[in-house]
Formats: sequence, C-alpha cells, structure tokens
Amino acid sequence: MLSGEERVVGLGYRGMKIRAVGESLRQAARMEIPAEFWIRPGLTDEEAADGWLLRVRAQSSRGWSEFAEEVASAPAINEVVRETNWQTRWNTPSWVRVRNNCYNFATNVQNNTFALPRAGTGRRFSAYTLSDIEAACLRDGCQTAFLGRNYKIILAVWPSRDFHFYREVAPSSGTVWGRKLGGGNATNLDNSSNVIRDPRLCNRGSYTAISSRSLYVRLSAMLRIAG
Amino acid sequence: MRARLFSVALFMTIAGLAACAANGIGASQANCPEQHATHLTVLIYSGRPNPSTSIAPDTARRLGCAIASLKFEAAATSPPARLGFSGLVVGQLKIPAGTASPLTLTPREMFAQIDGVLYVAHDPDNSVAKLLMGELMDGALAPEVVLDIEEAIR
Repeated sequence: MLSGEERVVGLGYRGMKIRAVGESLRQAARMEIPAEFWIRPGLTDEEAADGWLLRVRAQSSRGWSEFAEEVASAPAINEVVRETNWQTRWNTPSWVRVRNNCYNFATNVQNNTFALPRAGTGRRFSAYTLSDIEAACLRDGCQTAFLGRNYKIILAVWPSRDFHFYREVAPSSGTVWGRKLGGGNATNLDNSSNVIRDPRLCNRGSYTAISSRSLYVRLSAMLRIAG
Repeated sequence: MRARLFSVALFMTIAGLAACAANGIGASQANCPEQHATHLTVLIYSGRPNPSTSIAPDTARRLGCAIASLKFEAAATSPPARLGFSGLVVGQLKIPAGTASPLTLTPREMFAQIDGVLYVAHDPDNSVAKLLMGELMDGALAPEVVLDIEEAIR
C-alpha cells in the first residue's frame, strides 16, 4: 500500500480508485485484497492495470471512451530506477552473496546462478571484449535505449580475462553507481575506496575497457540469465 | 631397511624445519597439527568464476606450520575488496588459534574467520603466500593467474 507521501498530487488524471461492492466485498476478503485501493500510472512498469481496466471498461460504456483517450495521451513514465536497499539485499545472507555475481547484481536478477551474459539464447560470448559481451547482454534482453522503468548499467572488461558491471543505485546525494565483486560484497566504492560517481572515471584496476554507452534492463523483464 | 626409513624420516624432519626457518617463521613441530586436504580459491575475477584448486594434506600442514607463530588479533576491517587480484582463500586450516574457515591471504596480511570472529595477522614479506604458491603443482592454476599473484606478493 502507498503512504500519503507517495501519492501523486496535481490536476488532471491521477489514477483510479477501485472499490469492491456487493459479492466482490466477500471475494476480496477471501483473497485478502483490500476492499478499496488506488491505481496510478507508473506504479507498475507496464501499462498494466489502469490501461487494461480502461480498455475493458470502454468496450461496454461510451462514456469511458473519452476518458480513456485522455489517459492514453498522458506522458509515458520513463525513468531510471535506483534500488535503495541494494547492499542489504545482495550482501546478506552469505549464500546469496557468494552465488550471485556482478551480472546478477546489474540486471537485478537474484537467481543464485553466478550468471554469464549468454543464457537467454544459449549463445555464449566468444571473447572477453566489450563488443562480444555487450552482444550477449542484448541477447539476454538488455537494451541500448529505454522506455518505461529501467535499471541503467555499464559494462567494463579486463581485456581477454573477465567482465564487470556497474549499476546506478540510489544515492544519498548526486549520482552513485554500485557494483558487486564476483561472490564478494556489493559496494559503491572503487579500487581507491572512492564513491563511484562515474564508472568511466573511477579506479577499475585491470578492467581498463569500458563501454561508451549504457545498457538498460527493463524493471518488469525478468531476464533469463544463468551461469 | 629400517635404518633407511629412519634416515628418510630424519631428512624430511630436518627439511621441514629448515623450510620453516628459511621463511622466518621458526615454528616448532608441536605447532604444526595434521591437516585435511582443503581447497584454494583465487580472488581475482568479478564476472566469471574464480579459479580454484585443491591443497594436499602435506601442503596444508606446511602452511599451518608457517602460520603457527604469527600473532593473530581481532580484525578492525574486513579483507579489502577490489577488482583484480585481491587474495588467496584457503577453505579450512587448523591453526593454533583454532580452525580458520576460511583463511584469506591478502598481500601482507592474512585474515582468519574463527567461530564467526575475524582475526588478522601481518605477514609483511608475504612469506605464507609465497610458500603456498611454491607448493602448488604446475598447471594447478592458469599461467596468467599465477603471474598476477606473483606480481602482487612479490
């Protein structure tokens, strides 16, 4: 449920209030669904709930059609999502920490596979180069542009040896990037123990090659990554 | 035959003590408990799995011997986390302070997790890491990994 602070305020369309009546009240109680709740755009990644409701409702009522057009013309919610509790979520418990690597962290898929960029199609990258690994990421479902709500990640490579990823995370101030060191801790510090404000400028040790463009992972897209 | 076996045993004991002395450890045999086979993991990669190999009981015993006289104290910080080579992790090793599980050798320091408490000992010459690397069989680790380790503990 949303707190008052999280609610959207302003003129115009702000969402829908759903209220159960009659038999639906009993069904809602059985399913442990609140008898009344509110849906607003951007609450979920996809067009999803409010758009679906409108389409279904518009089919049976002329009055809703105009309202649906107003909603459809509202600007899309495009944003980079910054996880807030990422260090707790990736560093504890220890078995989660050791079974997930930087690619799991970057894509935010905590499936304990120590994932390599390849498993979405089974076509593994052939060399530890930016182009090969980025191509494998794209096969996994990462994108070079974003629409909707996405995680923003950047690929770095230790030429011929290994890959590494950074993901933009919730900062206390400014832009901050997080990373996970293989089976070690997720951190926002670079090799010089400085907070990572820009992966391209931070101390990356032997991971000297870094992509000039970011990749995006759609929040709703559970990538099929694996080790 | 018995005399010959005794000679071999005597030679091995002297050689073991000499090895300890050469490393500046000076541990006595009493501080070198028997060890089980264990494993070594090199902390070096972020995306791909870290390389690992097994450690034979004899090697583990010499490692324990080399560590025996080092002074462990409660660690104020965890082993450093950095990209590239950051340490060697020995799965489990009996040391005088208890059973280290794991033991992490970083350049100039080693960290032992004993009963959930983290301890640290200083090894400014990296003598223990050098001993361990000298004991590994050829081909146990990829050449480029060995080079990175040797450069870090030089």
